[in-house]
Amino acid sequence: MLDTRIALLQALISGESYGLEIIERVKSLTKGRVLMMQGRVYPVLRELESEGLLESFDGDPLPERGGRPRKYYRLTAEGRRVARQDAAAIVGLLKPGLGMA
Amino acid sequence: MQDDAAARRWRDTLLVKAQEVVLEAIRADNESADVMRSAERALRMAGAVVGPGRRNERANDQETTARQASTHPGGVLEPLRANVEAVVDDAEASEGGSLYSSQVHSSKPRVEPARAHRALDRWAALLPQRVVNEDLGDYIEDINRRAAEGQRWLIWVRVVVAILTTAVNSVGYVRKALGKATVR
Repeated sequence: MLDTRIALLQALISGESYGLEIIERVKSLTKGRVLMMQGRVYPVLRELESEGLLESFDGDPLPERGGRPRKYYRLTAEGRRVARQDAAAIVGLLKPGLGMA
Repeated sequence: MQDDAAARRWRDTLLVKAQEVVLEAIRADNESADVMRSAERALRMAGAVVGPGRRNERANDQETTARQASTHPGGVLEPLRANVEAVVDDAEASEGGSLYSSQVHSSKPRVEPARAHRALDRWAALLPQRVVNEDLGDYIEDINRRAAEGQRWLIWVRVVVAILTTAVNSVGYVRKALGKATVR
């Protein structure tokens, strides 16, 4: 199973996002093959933020969230660098399966 | 070590509060057969996936406590499930056994997530603000989406899952915050 940290970093390469949308993004990018647990996403996002790979900011309070704001996350320069390294490693891992080795 | 003990105590308190919040929400709606059935199903599912933990020592109904001791020893959610079963039995008796009849359950479900919101709003008062805005906010948004899609029975499943996961995530969040504070 794809590591949650790697999946989150890859999902955020295409732009800032928040928990539910990130889960949907990962599901869509992997054609439904990778499903992330909702309860697992934010602890990992907070961990990545504390490591300096992500930064976060509050959106506007929304009625569909009971008046609470969404917390958006985006990659820092260091996070983008790590995400690219991860992507290269994943491509290397997938080459035999794709008949490219 | 002290941090671990404090985190365990807080986790236990959160789980007991979770039980109270859900039960109160369910009892408030005990005239509604749909809600009772949904809640019971949600709790059965949650009880099936949650591992062993401490039993609730604050159950004040002796009959329910006896039942949970004899049939469900050890599970964190078992007291909750036993209590819900007792509430379902009471409601069923008061409605002359019609609680599960097809006459009571219409084929087109009504979608009212407001009760779920009230339960989660009360629960939110016990959690760190960041966990409320992030984790719980997402669950509420998700519940609203499911309600809009007519998946009413899933709402109470999501409420129970939201309470459990935000309890666990809050303990983790507070432990990390305590760790940082200690390092400094």
